This record gives sequence, C-alpha cells and structure tokens, in this order.
Amino acid sequence: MSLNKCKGFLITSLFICAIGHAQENNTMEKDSISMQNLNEVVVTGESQVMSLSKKLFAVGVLDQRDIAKVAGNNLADILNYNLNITVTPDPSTGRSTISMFGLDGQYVKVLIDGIPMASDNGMGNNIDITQINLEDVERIEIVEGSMGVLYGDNAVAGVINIVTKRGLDHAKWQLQLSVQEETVGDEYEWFDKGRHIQNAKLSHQLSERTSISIGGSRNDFAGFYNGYKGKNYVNIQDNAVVNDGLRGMEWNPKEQFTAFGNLNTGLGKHSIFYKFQYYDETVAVYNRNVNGRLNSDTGMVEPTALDENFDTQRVMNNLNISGPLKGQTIYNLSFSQQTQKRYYQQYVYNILQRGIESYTADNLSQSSEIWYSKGFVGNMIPKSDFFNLQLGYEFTHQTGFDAIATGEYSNDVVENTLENYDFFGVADFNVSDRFSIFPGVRYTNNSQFGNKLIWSLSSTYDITDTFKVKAIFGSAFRAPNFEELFFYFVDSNHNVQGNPNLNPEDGISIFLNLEHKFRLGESSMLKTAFKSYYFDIKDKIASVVTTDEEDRNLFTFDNVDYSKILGFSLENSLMMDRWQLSLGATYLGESTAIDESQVSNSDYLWSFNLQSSVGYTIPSINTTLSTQLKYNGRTQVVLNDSGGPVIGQTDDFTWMDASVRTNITKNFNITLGARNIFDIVRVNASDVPSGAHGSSVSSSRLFGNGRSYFLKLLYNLNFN
Amino acid sequence: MKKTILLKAIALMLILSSCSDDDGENLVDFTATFASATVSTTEEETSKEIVLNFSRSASEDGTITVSYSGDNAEYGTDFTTSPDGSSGTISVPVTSGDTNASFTFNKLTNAIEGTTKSVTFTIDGFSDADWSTGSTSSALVSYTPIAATSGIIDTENGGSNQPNQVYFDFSTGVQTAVRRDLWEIGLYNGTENRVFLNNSLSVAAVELTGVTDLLSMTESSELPAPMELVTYSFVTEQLEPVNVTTVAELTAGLPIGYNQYGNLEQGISFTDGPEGALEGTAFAEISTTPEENYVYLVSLGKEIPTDPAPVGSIATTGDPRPIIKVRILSDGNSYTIQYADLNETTTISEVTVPKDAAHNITAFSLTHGETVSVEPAKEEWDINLSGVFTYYGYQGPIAAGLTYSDYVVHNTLGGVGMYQVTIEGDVPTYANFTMADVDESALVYDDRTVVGSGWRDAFGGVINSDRYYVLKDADGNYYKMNFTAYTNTEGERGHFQFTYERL
Repeated sequence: MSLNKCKGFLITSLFICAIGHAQENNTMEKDSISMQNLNEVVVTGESQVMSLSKKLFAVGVLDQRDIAKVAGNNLADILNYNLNITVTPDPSTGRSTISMFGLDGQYVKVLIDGIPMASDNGMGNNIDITQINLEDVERIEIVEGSMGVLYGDNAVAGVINIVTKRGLDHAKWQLQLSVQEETVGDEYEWFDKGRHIQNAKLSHQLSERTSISIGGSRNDFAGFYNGYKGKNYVNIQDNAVVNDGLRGMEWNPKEQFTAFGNLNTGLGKHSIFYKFQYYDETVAVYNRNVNGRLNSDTGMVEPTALDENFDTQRVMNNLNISGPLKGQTIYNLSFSQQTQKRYYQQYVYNILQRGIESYTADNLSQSSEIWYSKGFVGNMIPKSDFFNLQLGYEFTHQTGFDAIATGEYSNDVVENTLENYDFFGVADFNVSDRFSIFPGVRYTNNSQFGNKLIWSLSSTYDITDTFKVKAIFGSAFRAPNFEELFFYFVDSNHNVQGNPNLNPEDGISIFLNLEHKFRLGESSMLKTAFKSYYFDIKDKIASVVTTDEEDRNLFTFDNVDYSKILGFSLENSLMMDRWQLSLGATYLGESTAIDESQVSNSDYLWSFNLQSSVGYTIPSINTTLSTQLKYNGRTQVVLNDSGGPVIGQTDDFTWMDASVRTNITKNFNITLGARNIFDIVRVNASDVPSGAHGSSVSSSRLFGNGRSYFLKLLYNLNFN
Repeated sequence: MKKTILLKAIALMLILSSCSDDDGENLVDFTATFASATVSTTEEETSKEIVLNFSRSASEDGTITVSYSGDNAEYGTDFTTSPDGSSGTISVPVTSGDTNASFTFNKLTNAIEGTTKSVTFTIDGFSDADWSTGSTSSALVSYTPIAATSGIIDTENGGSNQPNQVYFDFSTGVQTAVRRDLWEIGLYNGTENRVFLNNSLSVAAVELTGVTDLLSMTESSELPAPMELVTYSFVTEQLEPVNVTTVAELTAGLPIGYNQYGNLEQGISFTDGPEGALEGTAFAEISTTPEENYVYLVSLGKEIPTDPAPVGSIATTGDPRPIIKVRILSDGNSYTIQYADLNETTTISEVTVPKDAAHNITAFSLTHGETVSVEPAKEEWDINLSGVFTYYGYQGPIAAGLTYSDYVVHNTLGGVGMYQVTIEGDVPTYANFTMADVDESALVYDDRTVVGSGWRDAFGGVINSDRYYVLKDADGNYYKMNFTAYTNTEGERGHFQFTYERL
C-alpha cells in the first residue's frame, strides 16, 4: 500500500525535524517539572469546590504527570498501579471493570466533576473504565471506604472522581495535538493491528474568568489476536469446514471516539461550569465458530459466521454553579442530563467473499436517560468555631430498558423507571484546634426498595502539623442491579428469574488512617501513611435455588451471603531532588459466607499486594525516566460447589511499565515506553465461573495482552 | 517556521492514522461442477438439460469442454447433444455474469429390458487456465431410473421449535416431514403386540398394576399398592426417594422433565428405552388375555411452541398436554384402544386398529381418536431426524427425564444398520472413505441411537467434525453420510444439512 510508505516517510522526517529542533532549544526550559512535583504534595487543592472533601477523607490523587508517564488514554491505562485497585478486563465484551478491596465494580462509584456517570444500566457504578477518556482530565481522585452519606448508593468500596481541566495558566490560546502508536503484545500494523490514538484539544482564555475548551480523542484498538487468526480465517478440508476454534480474536477490537467541550465562567461572585461530552464506541465480536453449510447447487462449501457489533453512544451535559449564599455560607448546585444508547447488530459474514450476507438483528438493545441534580449548602454557621453544618439533596430520575441484562429470552423488555430522592447533612464539631468530629446522615427514598438511612462518623486528630490521624466510620449500600431484579429465562428445562423484591446490600466500613510527613531538606520530603480498614457487607445478593408456586425449581437471586474484609496497608512516597520514589504494600483478608442459612463460614483468605514506582528527572535534557511495578498477590475466593464450599484462586502476577518522556522543545515532547514488561497474558485461575452447563470451564483468567511498546508524540502550542 | 512544519506533520499524521483499511477483493476461485452426479430419465423423456453450476458468477466469457463415454450407448445412434458433440467433446459456452451453464442431452433410443444403458459426461478442460473443476466432475445420465448416488439434503425440521420429524430414504433421496404432535402412541405391526410412545413429543406412561377398570381410577384414587420411586433434586443435586400412594401424587412425577419419577434400579421407567427395542417399551407387552392388560396413565407430552427461540437456541417443549388414562387390548391381529380423560367415570372411547404389514408401526392420535399417517412404508425410510427425543435415563450419575434436540435415529425395526466412524489415527476422512473401508461387523441393528445428537456440539455451536456415519439399507446399498450444519446461516436452529454418497 502506497499510503503506508508515505506514512513511514512522514514519521521519519518528523523525527529528524524534531531532533534538529531539540538541539537548538534544550536550554530553554528550566526545572519546572521538579518544582511542580513539590507543589502537588503540599497543596491540597481545597479551592476546587467539586473535588472530594479532603477534610473528611484521605484522598489519593493521580495527576497529569502520572497520566503522562504511562501515556494513559483512558482510565484503565493508569489504575492498574493503584495499590488497592485491580482492573479486570473482559476480552469478549471489551469492558474493563475495577475492583477495590476485592469488591467488584458494582461497589465503586465513578464521578465526573462530582456527578455520577451513566453506566450500562445504572448510575455511577459498574463503569467500563476504558470508556473514560483522559484527554481533558486535570486529575483523578480516589477515596477509599464507604462514602454513602456524601455520594449515595453503591459508594461502598470507594469513590473515583475525575476532575476536568479548566482554564489556562499562561496564554490566551492553547492547541494540543498528539498521536500515539502502540503495539498490542507483539502485534502491530499500520491499520489492522495494534492501538492507534489521536487527540486534539483547543483551549481559549476569553477573559480572566472565562475560558472554553473543545477537543476530541480517537482510540482505535485493533484487537489482540494472540494466536487466533482473525475474521477472514476458515479451515476447509475436503470441501468441509473444520471448526478448530481459531477464527476471531482473543480480545475483540474496539474503536472509541470522544468529543468534549467545556465552558468555565463567572457571574459576579458565582462560578459557572458547563461540560459537554459525546462518546461513541464500536466493539466487533467475531464468532469463533464457522457455519460450513454446502451450497446445494454447486456442492461447494460456503463458510459463514454469525458476527456481532455493539455500538454504544453516550451524551453528557453537566452544569455546576457555586458561590456564596450569604456571607461566608456557600452553595453548590449541579445538574446533569445523560443518555446512553447501545445498538446491537448481528449479521451473517461470508468468509470467502469477505462481505455481509444479511443482518439477523439490528436494533436498539439498551437505552437509558438520566436526570440528576445535587446541591448543598456548606459553612452554614461561619461565625462558630466549634460547630458547622452542611446540608444537601440529591435527586436521580432514570428511565430505560436493557434487553440483554433482562435476558435474551425475555418476552417483555419493559421500560423501567427508577427514582431516588436523597437528603443528607454533615456536621462539624471542632472540639479543639487539632481534633474534629464529623457526624453525617443521609436519608434515601428509592422507588424500587423504599427508604434507607445511611450514616457516617469521621474524625480527624492532628497530633502535629505533619502527623495526622483520621478515623472514618461509614455506611453505604449497593442497590440490586438490573439483571438481579429483572432477568427472565423460562422454558421446559430452565426457570431463571430475577427477584424484584431484592433489598440493597448493606455495607459498613471502618478506616483508620495515620499520615506523617517528614521534611528531609530543602527539596526533599517523605510521606508515610498507614491504613487499616474493615468492611462488613450484609445481605449480599447471590443466586439461589428455590421453588415457585407450581413447585418447580426456580433459579433466582436473594440476599443471602455476607462478607467481611480486613486489611492493612503502608504507603510511602519520597521526593528527593530529581528522584520520586514510592513503595507500598497491602495485606487484605476476606471472609465470605455463602448462603448464611448454611454453615459455611470461611476463615479470612489473605492476599498481598505490593506497589512501587521510581521516577528520575534529568533537567539538562528535559527528560523524565519512570518505572512502576505492582505485584498482585494470589487471591482466593470461596465458591459454592455441589459438594459444598470450595476455595478457588487466581495466581499471583506482576505488572511493570517503564517510560522515557522528553521535552524536545518547549512545545513538543515524546514519550516512549513499554507496558506489561513481564508479558502477562493469562494467569492460572481455578475460580473462573463456568458456563450454565459447565461446558466452558476455563482454568485461567485473561489480564493483559502481553508486553507492549508505545510511542506518543505531543505537540503543545501556547500563543496569545 | 519549524513549528508550523511540525504542526502540519502532526495534523497529517492524525488524518492518516485515523483512516482504516477497507479494501476487499473477490477471492472465491471459479469452479464448475455438475449439479447432480446422476441423472435418471424415464421412457417418455426424449431430452434432458444437464446443468453445470459455478462457485460464483463468471467474470469473463469462455467455454467448458465436456467429454463423454457411453455404456451401451453410441453418439449419433443412441443420443446426441446440443451443442454438438460429434467430435468427441462438447464445448459448453460460458457468458460473463452467469452462475451456471448447461447443455442438452437428446435421447434417440430406449434401454432394452434388463440391460443398462447410460452416458457419463466429464469436465475435461476450460478455456481459462484459472478455472477449475468443483466437487462433482462427472455426471452419469441413465436411460432407466437408478438409485441416487449422492446428495446434499437440507432437512425440513422447521426451525428452532423443530416442529417436524423428518424421515429420509437414501436410495430415493426423498424426505418426509411430519409434525411431531400428530400422534402419541405407535402400534407395532410385527408378530409381537407392542405399543411405542412418541418420544419426539415427550409422551410418558405408567402402569397402574392390577387395575383393569378404566373408569374406576381418578385423580383422587389411591394406588393399589404404593410405589417406591426416586426423583432428582436441584437442591441436593442428587436422587431423593419419593413414595407415591395416590394417582395425584403419581401424575406429579409422570411428565418428562429433570424431576420425572422413576427407579432404574427397580427397572421402573415411564418412557420407552432409547434403543427402540420391543422389550424396552413403557407399556408391557399387550396380552391377548384382556384381564392381563392394565390401565395406564399417559402424559400426552408437551405442546410444540410457536414463538421462535433466539438465535442459537431452541424452544421445542411448550405447555404440558393433559394426562389421560388408557388401556390397550389385542387379539393378535389388531389393537383395541380404550381411553378416557383422567377424571372420567362414565364414558370410555374405544377404537380398534388392524395391524398393517407395510409399516413398522401405525401411529395413533389419542387426541383425535384415529390413526394418522406418520412413518413411510418400512422399506422406504432409513433414518428419522426426529428433532426432539426424550427418555428417562442416566446423565452422568443421576437419572432424569431427558430431552434432547437435533436427534437422529435409524430404522432398526426395518433392518437398517448404521455405525459411526470416528476419525483418529489412520482412519480415512469422510472424503477418502470407500467401500473397501466398510466394517460390516460394526453395523448396529439393535440400537437406533447410533447418531443421536452426538453429531453436533450445541453448547460449542459446531458440528463435531471428528465423525461421520456409514449406513446399510435394507436392500444392501451402502452409504456414507456426513453432517455439515445444524443451523441455517443466520444461526437459527433446526435446519440440519447433511451430505451423503453411495459407496
């Protein structure tokens, strides 16, 4: 292809040009990177009204520097290295979900500027984190623990808040363009293999208080073959198809497009922030099986395959207004309207002709629309040093349907409406300068399961200015999901139905956080944090066998299990001249009881994780070297087997990335790196759920796509 | 200056790296193949069109050269062709865009009684070097009707509800599709007096031992003696004992399903054995002494659903049909069927059906009280693609009422033998299997489930390509058969396809 040659030439000339340029300008930029580093640690960023309250919780922050060093395009690229978070990809659907403290994505709430994000059939939880683009992100805040009072349902394990970048610091205009080329394992081609990313963003500071920004990002992941042979493969022997299972891909291809824009302005003392986002994602699913029907006219085999296509579109409009209400009392109001639609296509692909013969399905399979509002009034009693109060409300109205979650056998894909009215309040009792107590309470009224009361109690004690203790005692609940409520599959051999009468799962967490900062010198600092945590989750939803009115066996869901999680972690970070080092470890145990009524209490099953990163800056050549490592210890879970509970496990494995980032000119930088250096693809596992008929038992779990290399070129132009 | 060059370069790269490769080309090889390997002509027919099919439409004009050889047939005296073939070959024209071509065989004489007379046409060459011969390179045109030698059969089981069972005869290539719900019981026409159940409709029957008065038993009746049975429990995932003392308790466990009652250790099964043996029927042998024939409770099975199942799935068993009471008598030459609704206490329906030597069994509808035409005559079918097939039996360690789909049985009562060839080691593939490879001793005549549902893997979604089948019909013809599909291209179940060839 002549285009390929042309592109190869381009990239070569780009390099030559860039290197030539670098030699002229490498003295221009000073030590801005290391200075920035230090600021990040000291400043807590309280001025951002929409960020999570650092007063009440221990907030972990990943900033643009952290994103840049792994050349992260979406949230899945960077969360792998968080000590208490595991990213689990599902190669067949292309979704990646997170688990925190061993609790899956349904227990973690993801917010964008404080507003929960629409997910496949919910609000905020069970988010596919590959769908969250990082191009316009300022930082990512991670709070661990049950945050029900401030963030509502499903904030059981923790909350992740994505904060949008707004405004420009130095110039009137900024144009950012970047391209990123990645291998997927050792697979790479200009078009059909690897990962290809393009980003563009234009920001403009209209006046001191008003800025706008628009941009787009495209991420074309061509899939991971890993020995599979793609969509045009078929094995024909003696005019008959041999199904060797090699058609398709290990990890299906996915193409994502995000367009975004925001407006940040002020009216008097009031700040207004509006954000728009459009997201489109296409996932192609290639059938491993080939239909080898013969053409009865010619007698020749005409191999076809039934392939699928999922197209998800999401539109988000978020508006936030904040300002003083009276005196020092402030208000903060958020409104959001979000829609998500998923289109499903199934078609007959003729493998030899390489074309689509016919469509067997082409419809809207999932749709939801969400109206959301949250508001609070804070600092209500500014005159009192001892007592203060914050009061707020949260409202969610969600309508939609999901034909897949309710089961493909469901005859009545009905539209469901879910409404939440919540009111919450948090009080401050500043007992002394160093000791504060914050009790909080939230009342939820949900149209599905009625009323619910959540509470929390946190306290901070500053032993010295640099040695602080926080204790957080909070509750939260996970609402039953769509499938658990409405799934339906009934025929002569099957009777599987959701349970509309499910109650939410109740979770309580206790966090103890000790943090000590040591200033070691002019530009050196050590931060040490010790955490201990305990989760108690009752009424966990699990599948059960019971009988229906006609005395037939009914497979359904009920609130029967519970689990307890106990853990300890120690995190250290050190800044020293050109070095940034971190080392952390966590030791986590989970005790699960499957079906409380049966005596199947298990002991705590422990797992150990280790995380470390090293960064080194060479100012003379404007280059930062960084590497990070995470050891994921063996994890065990209790599984319900026909012979009683058994322990299944996933073996340990280690992630490691390394990258070099260099500013070739003030405006142009290159990041070159390697992901997954230990070449992890599959990890042995004996806890993979088998299919309904036990036909697809797998003894391993897919975590990665092997050692990959990436190159990112970023051009950043500021002008007035 | 350089800034703008860089900017332009990156912008260009953005554009370039965001396009994708959608190029496609026509990669199907052009092949020509005879539409049929054998063509029979009748005495009345004077000409026959012989068709050559292409794998795709021809992209250019050309010709296909066909040669011929006669068996008791001479060009010019016994036959001619159009286009002319007096030179020894026929040039069949191919026009660009066509998907087939043909020539005409003109019959000038007829075969003399008792002798064979035929012409074999063979593809000999092409005007285009890229063209090639497909699967059937020659066609035999017979002056008399002959047994089919091969074929590709798309069965008429009717989709994801599998509403039809299909009888197929290899020597005539005729398939007969019959709805599964036309009948419930089959009366055996041989010397023994036996009654089969329609196991493609989940029919089940239990004997009320000792009861001869049909009207005396209703739902509330006590059984003459308690029955010690077992049933599969989903909760404990094993067989649990169940003691049955009333008719109502017994009917709860009569219909076929995972928790159907039975007790194989005691030889109690409410269904016919899967093998199809006379001794394995749920009904005891019908005695010519009336008082030895007891009343049976018969579950009339399950309705055939009408809503199609989702792609890749089946919906073959619908609402349960009623349970009725039946008593069958015989004088050795006919059967007398007495039946009534379960709670009927005054009126008995009675139908007498004579034995019919032409068929293995005579199908009878207890729903409509009459015989129905289901099976072709006993030498006119070799296999029955019954779709649904049910019986009480073991699945692993547990016994349950099992429901299969995509099931195939062969005509053991009609003297058809069949065996499965599993490709391993130096066993020939289907394409290479010849008459010399037939293992006469492997042919199974006492178990009709040789094919069963093992030809496909419904959970894996594929045909099991490690096996094919050898069949010997009652006339001594040998065939090999190989399944090629169990869904249509759009993934709908219940559209089987197989190919077969006479050895």
